[in-house]
Amino acid sequence: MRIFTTILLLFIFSDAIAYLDPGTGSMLLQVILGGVAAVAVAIKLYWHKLRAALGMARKEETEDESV
Amino acid sequence: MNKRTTAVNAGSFRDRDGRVYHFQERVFRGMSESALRNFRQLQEQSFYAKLAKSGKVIGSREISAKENPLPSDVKAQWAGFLEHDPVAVISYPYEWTFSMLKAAASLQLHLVEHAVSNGFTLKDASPYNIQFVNGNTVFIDIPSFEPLQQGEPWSGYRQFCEMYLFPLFLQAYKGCNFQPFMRGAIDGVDVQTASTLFGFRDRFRKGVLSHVWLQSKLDRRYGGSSENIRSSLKSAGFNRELILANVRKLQKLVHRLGWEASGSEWGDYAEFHNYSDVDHLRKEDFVRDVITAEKPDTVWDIGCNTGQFSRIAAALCRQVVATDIDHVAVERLYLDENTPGNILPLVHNVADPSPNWGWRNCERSDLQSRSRPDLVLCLALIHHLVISANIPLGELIDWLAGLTDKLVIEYVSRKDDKVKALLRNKKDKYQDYSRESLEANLKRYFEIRQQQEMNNGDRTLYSCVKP
Repeated sequence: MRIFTTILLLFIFSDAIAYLDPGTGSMLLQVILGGVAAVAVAIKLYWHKLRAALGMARKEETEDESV
Repeated sequence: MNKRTTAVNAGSFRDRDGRVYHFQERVFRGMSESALRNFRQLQEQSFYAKLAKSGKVIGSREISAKENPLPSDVKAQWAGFLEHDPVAVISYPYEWTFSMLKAAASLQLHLVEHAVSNGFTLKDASPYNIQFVNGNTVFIDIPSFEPLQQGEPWSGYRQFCEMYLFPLFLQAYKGCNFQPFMRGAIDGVDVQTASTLFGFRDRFRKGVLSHVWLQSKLDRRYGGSSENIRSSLKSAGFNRELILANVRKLQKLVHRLGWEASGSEWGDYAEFHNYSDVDHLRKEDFVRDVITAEKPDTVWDIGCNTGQFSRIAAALCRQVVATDIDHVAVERLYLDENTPGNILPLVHNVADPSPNWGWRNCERSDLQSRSRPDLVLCLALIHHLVISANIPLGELIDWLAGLTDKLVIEYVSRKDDKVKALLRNKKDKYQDYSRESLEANLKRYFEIRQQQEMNNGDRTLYSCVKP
């Protein structure tokens, strides 16, 4: 289960090498460490990103994510 | 620190919602409006009341402006003030043993678990927020408790890894003392450093793959991401059950971590001391008689080993700070269930002591700024400091005289096996190491009140008091 969420998370966001934001990776890791309860969250994170990439996200959804 | 004036705690600047002040022997905390609101809300929670009752969090109460003795310009800076119960001696993680850091980690996780289960969280996870009071861990940074926002991850998780988990891994998995790492970087062992310290084989050890390797991968991949991960997590339904699942797994992981203390030079010293039982009893009696007569409040036992003489002192005074360079010996003292609560065992090297460091070199302070001894025990130690650490005897006595008015010091002659062993592979340039030189140096500051010969004159105990 953890492998599934890990794979999902490793492909969610685009790779970026810039200055170090200390918490981002650690926050995402908490989804993986959340175990079974986290699978739905990981899928939803992935789903949001996929919709955004395809230009299918609802307006309020993208706004919410850019807060 | 002048005890009659107000002093800002130099290490309390990080959180802009509060600041700690010392006045006489009392400890106060100025709080912003939001911090004060959180505290009032926290006080109404039954989980917090239980933590306070069990002594797991420091006794704290809100005080009125009338009760507040701090100057008016300080009072004007904050919406309100708490008063905390004072801690006898503040200690730092790089002075703790493995089991002390582990106990602090367990308390930190216990607090997060209880807070999150009750709609609160802890905004950080720093072992500097935990202290040892009567042998038990106590959390002292009350404003760290905050209401948990919906969808919010545990913001202290990374700090927990860097300041508790990775140092514990270093000791448990690599057998490497963690203290120099904690003293070398004020924020602990960062994720990227940990991932270079733990190699491929270590990934098979419990917790390393996820907390070290995967965290470093995710950190490298998303560290510079412009995404607002917090809000993405929130909208994806991140909830407190995820935090609790992680925290409970961490509790199990920390609980299982063990360190097989080995390779200690001094851990067995008490069993293998090289003087007769009669002399040993004489030494105990000498120490007991001096402490009984001098009635010190605080005793430092420097080079305490497993604490044989610290225990004698603890029965006769309020507080003992027992320090030794040897992690294993201090660990034994801490883990011994018969160790009295008023002994604070610390890993500390006189020749390489805790420095003043951090922001402005005063965020963390040296040990003598945190505790002043009324009497110092310096037993079977000076040959190590003079011969092994190359400290001139005169300078050593200068330092001791600056530290204390009352001193019990042991001279170990060159005929002693320990001294012979120390000199075996060294060129003997230690002409200052002699009984005559010690006595002359002591007399520069102290009056030698009593002395006791042992081992046919190979060892001598001196009780010294400043006139």
